[in-house]
Amino acid sequence: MKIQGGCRCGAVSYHATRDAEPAVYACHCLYCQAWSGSSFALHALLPEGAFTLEGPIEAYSVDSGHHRACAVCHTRIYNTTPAAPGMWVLRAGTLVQRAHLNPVAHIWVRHKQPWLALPSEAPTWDENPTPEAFAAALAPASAAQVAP
Amino acid sequence: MTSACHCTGCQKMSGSAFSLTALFPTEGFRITRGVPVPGGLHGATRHEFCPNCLSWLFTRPAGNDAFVGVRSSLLENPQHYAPFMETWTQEKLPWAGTGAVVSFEAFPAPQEYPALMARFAQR
Repeated sequence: MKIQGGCRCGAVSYHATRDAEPAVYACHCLYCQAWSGSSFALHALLPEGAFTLEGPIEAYSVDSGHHRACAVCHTRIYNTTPAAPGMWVLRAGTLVQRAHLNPVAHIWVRHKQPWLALPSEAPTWDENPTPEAFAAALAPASAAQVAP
Repeated sequence: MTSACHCTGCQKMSGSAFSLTALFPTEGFRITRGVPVPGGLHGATRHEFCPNCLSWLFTRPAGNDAFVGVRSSLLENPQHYAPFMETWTQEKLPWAGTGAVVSFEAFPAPQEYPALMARFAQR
């Protein structure tokens, strides 16, 4: 299965071939609200090197996070963080397939905007889930989407 | 006036489902530190970003110098800026609801804004 996406202006694109569509989750922490300009960030965790980037990339670091953005329109594409070693945290709003990727988990909902109604079926955590609980939440979506 | 925009451009620029905006009169808006850098499509509507972390700060809309659209999630007490209006619902992610009072499939016409702002002020 091919997944692809890109930035606002079209200068940067990425693509990957994967077994399943990525599981998308929403982080409602205050940093993610500021980073996104929205009320949450939409992320997909993918193994480092999971997709091929093309175009003018701007790389920069803030605190311990390393970010990759389009150098022209500044759309952020992904970051790495010590909290998820070996992973790329993709900004899922840049995915072509985003319209049918419902978030499978919502984290840091203690900072969720009060006016935002979340779908009842997705699990929520007040802050960060344990790695085991988070892996379990992200896994079924991927497994279900592997089925033909 | 507060709003959420569901257009695909905002989905990409936010990396999320929609962008959040609070419109402020330009005369009351000052940049107090740093020099923002332009981004987005570099067109008549000007999107300005933090030069260090590339957070999307605010937008100066084309053809309307009277207002600045600030990304309200960067403001102190962002919970005070629940979106009153949502735009571009024809491109909305199916699960993404904002509870906005008024919805438009695209943008409202420029002449609709005064009435919308009056309604926002009275809510």
